[in-house]
Amino acid sequence: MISTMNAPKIRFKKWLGKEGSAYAFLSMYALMFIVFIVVPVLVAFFLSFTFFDTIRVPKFNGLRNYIVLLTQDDVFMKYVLPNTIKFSVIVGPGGYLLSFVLAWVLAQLPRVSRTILALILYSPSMTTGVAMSVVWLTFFSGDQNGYLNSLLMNMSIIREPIQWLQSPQYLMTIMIIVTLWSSMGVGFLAMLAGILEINPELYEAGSLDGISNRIQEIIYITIPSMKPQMLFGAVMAIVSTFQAGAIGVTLSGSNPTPQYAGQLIVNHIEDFGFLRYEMGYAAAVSVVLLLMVLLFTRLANKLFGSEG
Amino acid sequence: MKLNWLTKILGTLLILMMVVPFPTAAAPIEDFKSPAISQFDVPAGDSTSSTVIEIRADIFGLPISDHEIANLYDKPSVFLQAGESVSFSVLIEEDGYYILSFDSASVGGSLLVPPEGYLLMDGENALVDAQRIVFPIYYQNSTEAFPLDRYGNETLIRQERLIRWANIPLRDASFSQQYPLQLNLAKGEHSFEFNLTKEALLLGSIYIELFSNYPDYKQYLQENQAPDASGFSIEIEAEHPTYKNDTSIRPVNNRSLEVTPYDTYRLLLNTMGGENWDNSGSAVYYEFTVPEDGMYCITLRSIQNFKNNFTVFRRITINGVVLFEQLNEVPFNYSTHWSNMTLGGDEPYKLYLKKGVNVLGIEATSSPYYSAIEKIKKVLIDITDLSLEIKQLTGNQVDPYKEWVISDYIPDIQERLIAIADDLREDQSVLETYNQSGGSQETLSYQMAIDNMMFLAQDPDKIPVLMNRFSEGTGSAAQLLGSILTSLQSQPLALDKIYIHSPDTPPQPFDVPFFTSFEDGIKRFFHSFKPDPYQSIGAEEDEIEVWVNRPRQYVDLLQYITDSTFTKETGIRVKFSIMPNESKLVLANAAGIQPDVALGVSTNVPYELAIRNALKDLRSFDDFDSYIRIYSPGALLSYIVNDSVYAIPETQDFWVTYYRQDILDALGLQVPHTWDEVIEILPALQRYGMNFNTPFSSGSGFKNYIFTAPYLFNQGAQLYSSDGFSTGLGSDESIVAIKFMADSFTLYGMPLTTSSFYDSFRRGSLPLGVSNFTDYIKLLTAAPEIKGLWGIDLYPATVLADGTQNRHTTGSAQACIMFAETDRPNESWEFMKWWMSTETQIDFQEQLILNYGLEYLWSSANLEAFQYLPIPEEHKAVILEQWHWLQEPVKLPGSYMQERELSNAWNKIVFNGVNPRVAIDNAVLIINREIARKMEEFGYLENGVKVKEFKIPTIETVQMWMESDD
Repeated sequence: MISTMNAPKIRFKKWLGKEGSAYAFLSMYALMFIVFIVVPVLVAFFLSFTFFDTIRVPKFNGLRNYIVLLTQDDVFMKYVLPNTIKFSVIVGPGGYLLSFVLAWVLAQLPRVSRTILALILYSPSMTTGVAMSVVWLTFFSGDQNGYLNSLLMNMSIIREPIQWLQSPQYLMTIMIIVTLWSSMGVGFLAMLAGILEINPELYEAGSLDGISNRIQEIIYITIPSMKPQMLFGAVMAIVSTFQAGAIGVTLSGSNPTPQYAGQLIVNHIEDFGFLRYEMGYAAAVSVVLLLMVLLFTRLANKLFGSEG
Repeated sequence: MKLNWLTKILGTLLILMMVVPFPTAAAPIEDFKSPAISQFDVPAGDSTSSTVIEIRADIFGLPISDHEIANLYDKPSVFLQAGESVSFSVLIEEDGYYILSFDSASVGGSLLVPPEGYLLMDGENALVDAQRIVFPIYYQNSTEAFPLDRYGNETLIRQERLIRWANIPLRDASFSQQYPLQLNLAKGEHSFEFNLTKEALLLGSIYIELFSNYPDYKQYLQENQAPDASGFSIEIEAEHPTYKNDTSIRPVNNRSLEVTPYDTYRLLLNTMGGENWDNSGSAVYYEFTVPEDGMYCITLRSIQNFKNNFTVFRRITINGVVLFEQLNEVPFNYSTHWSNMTLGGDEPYKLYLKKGVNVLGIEATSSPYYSAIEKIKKVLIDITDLSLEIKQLTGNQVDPYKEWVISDYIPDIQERLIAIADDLREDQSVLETYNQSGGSQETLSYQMAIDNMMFLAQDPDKIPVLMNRFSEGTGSAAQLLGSILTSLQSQPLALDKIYIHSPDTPPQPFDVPFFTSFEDGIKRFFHSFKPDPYQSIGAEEDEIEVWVNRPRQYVDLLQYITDSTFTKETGIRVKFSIMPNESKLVLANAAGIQPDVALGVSTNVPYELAIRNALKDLRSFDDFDSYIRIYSPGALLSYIVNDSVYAIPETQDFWVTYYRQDILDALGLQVPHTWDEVIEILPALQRYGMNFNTPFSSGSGFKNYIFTAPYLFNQGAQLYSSDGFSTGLGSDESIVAIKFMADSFTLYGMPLTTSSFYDSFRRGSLPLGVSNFTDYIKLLTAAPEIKGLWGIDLYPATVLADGTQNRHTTGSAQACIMFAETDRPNESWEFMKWWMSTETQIDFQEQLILNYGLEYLWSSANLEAFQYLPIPEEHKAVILEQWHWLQEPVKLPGSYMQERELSNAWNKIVFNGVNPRVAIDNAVLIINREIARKMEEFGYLENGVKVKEFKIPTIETVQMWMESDD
């Protein structure tokens, strides 16, 4: 009798010892994650089916927002989507490749110089906000005192200052350059760590087995040995690329960017949410953004995910 | 305990000063703003001495004043108003340099504008520097202790005018010279005429005496022999001056344990001056009592950590007199710690003080740098002249591969450059003696400027391509010198305490033990986790909650003024909080925690909130129509939905033409009054690499209505169709307007980006341009080298075919709103009316300037209040005239799309070369679609059919409301 009465208790104790402590440790993070990530995502999902002007009570309107997005939103189809795709295709894989190449090159250096250079390359991603206004805005400033204009005028390449940041034909290119400059973030550090983690004996074994140059080394040994870091880097690159919205607005000084030349999805969401007071529609666009990020992350998973 | 004793003395003094009767009747002056009056306490020149000639006021031929204040003066005096003058003649017995001084009391009505005058000698201007004689206004604290705000922090004491008699020597208007001005008088009879140009003055005797340097300290000691005082020491907290002559010298909080008083958690105003006490001539005065005649020492507890390795100066006066030469310019070196600075250093100066009340005056002075400052000013003019000459030869476009032989055209160029460098070298030693540690910004830049000159002098033919080392750009000699100029004039110093002591009781050095400061650091670290009360939201049950989109200084003052007047009069309590970000308003409204009233809201916010029913219709209050008469009618336009008004303007901006008179004169140009005239003079400007600045060049890619709408208004174009359901951009007028808007840049080459108009204007590369209030403040307060050389004029007019001249500009800056959900609408409306009332606005703008200086100029939307701002009358007239032309763009649902597409169309024409007509047609389609979509959202349209009328407000509508009788 006694043993049966105590059975659930004992089982609970067992569970507590086995998994309970893990949950206890997890709980703090889980709570934060639920409150600040899960709930907002769910709310946004719910709002995307409503008309909500941030002031009055939301009104349910079914799939209307999504239909409007696909059929009537000129700006989205004409500028925002192409811009976002162009921006992400270049900055995402471009930044990712750049991170890998630089990480690999750094890994070849002796310890001290490697650490210093890694810090130098990593620092732009930490200081983006400040560097943006101090360095890039001055660099691309549209009067003859802007560094680039001044340089070109001194070299007699141009006679009149070019409006780098106001002129639609340059804005996107500059956005891409600046983002690439600051893309050596956490993903880069992870890759550097990944490369350094690889057992040097592998390379020895490889050369015995007939690897003749460094390219082969990279393809057959380095990359396969650091798949987790490659995956992490890829996910970080995708997420940060799609979320990069501030850049065009900061450079051109306004949302919307001139002739929507630098308008990315995030800007479009802000435009509807905070400038046009159509939060429901903005929520719908952000759900689409979420789906896009999810899709590309799955893709990265397929490429680099280690089975089992 | 010492403090208690000190405050008692100060209190007694203050009461003594207050008992003097207040003017009651027969006062020829209308408004004294409840002044406190002090006895005449400055010894006039000794009239028995043979060298002093006294001209008593009874010979001026004006009626002798019998005013209360005049009665405080023991000799006759006359009352002068702006425009009046007195004449007298004097028989001089020997040739020589003479100084002049006036016994006077400033009695004008303005709290901020000091009386000014000029002096004619024998019918001519006596001296260049005597064309402006400034008579200081004195200020004193209205209460003894600092009032505490709601959170226990000390706030500034309200300043009031102190009308007192003083002996004012004739000095240069910027108080930058070492001695009073000296008139070179030959033997014989001389006639003088003194004219007052500003405000009002009570003028007593005038003294003329032969100039002599102040005695040397040794000589002073011989002349004033008295026993040393003994065992005596008093401390005066510097933040409690008896009076001062400049309101920008104000108590500031210092978070160092080295100062007293100090509190770990509360902000105490425990030191005086600092960065704001930097203008030459700004002085504070302290009254103190000594028990017996004798020799005393003075120690100042001070710090100058504002400018690296730079020495600042103070002039020390006792009872209005510089006792000896050494006190005329007392140096204070750079230091990172508070230290006790005994006058005289290791061998303290002994000053003879009489028993009783004495007044210590401490005046900021840049006079040791006077010669260097004047030299730089002269050199800057030389550089400008030479660079204009070069520009006349080379034109604007400089090809680096073109070879010039400048010396053929300006043969003496090399000598001139070397002469400039030599000129500068002369004063280099001055800077270096005062700043021996080297490494100060000023000395380094000075050397760089000289180096630049010598470098250019080596090969003058290269100058056209090296203008960036001469007069253009940040590293050029002109720029370097310009920045040194400002820097040399600024003499910041902070004071904590003043000790008056006998020579045998020097104040103890005061060091903070390491553990005390460590403990304090820990305490403050933990305290920093507590929420900031100034940003907390939520008010008590019986309070109106007001959110203010402004920094702390404004909110502090607002709370103080409200508590002390509005709450006192009406019993309505108000709590202010700082709103860190405007978007919080929308979110708070969604969350239901919105305030009752919000101040400082940007112009574009109220409309969006209003059409979604979040705001209270202010026109629902009966007295609204009569109330808004204080505004420019055009300022309300963007807050109107149909017949309702949802916000009232709070501050107002202006767009006017700024011009550099000196440069226009040099080029022989006139200030343009219309756009046609602007375009006419553009080629002349551009030939010299100069240009005309428009607001479009502010940098942002999006050109909003502030920039674009005036072009449309002035062409006579309507923004929308008359029913408000479609855009008006398709009209011929608007096409002309938009075309001109684009042509200004593509055809006429006005600058598309100007990183800072203020900088370019000072530098002279943009000597003309349209800009706003922000630049006005900067030019007024932070451009000493072009003081008096610039002016403002109306916005350039667009001349229509029938000859009408239109000068409409936008101009709203910030607004006050009331939320619909408020549970105290009537009290809130009372508060808003009180806040924007002329009386409160004048009080607020005065207190802002009194407490924080001219940088805090407040451009009230209340036109009556604006007239009282202490800015030059000619500027005020232009601004008020421009405000007649103020017109805000009307808003309607979806109108943001028009603003946006207008900007995009302009962008397309300018950057992509698209035909204006095509660009506009495209925009019209998009705008109309958005308007229709939004009109549907707000129930004016249903399936494309109009179901509700929409009223477009016009200036006439607003004027009609204003004129209605209710």
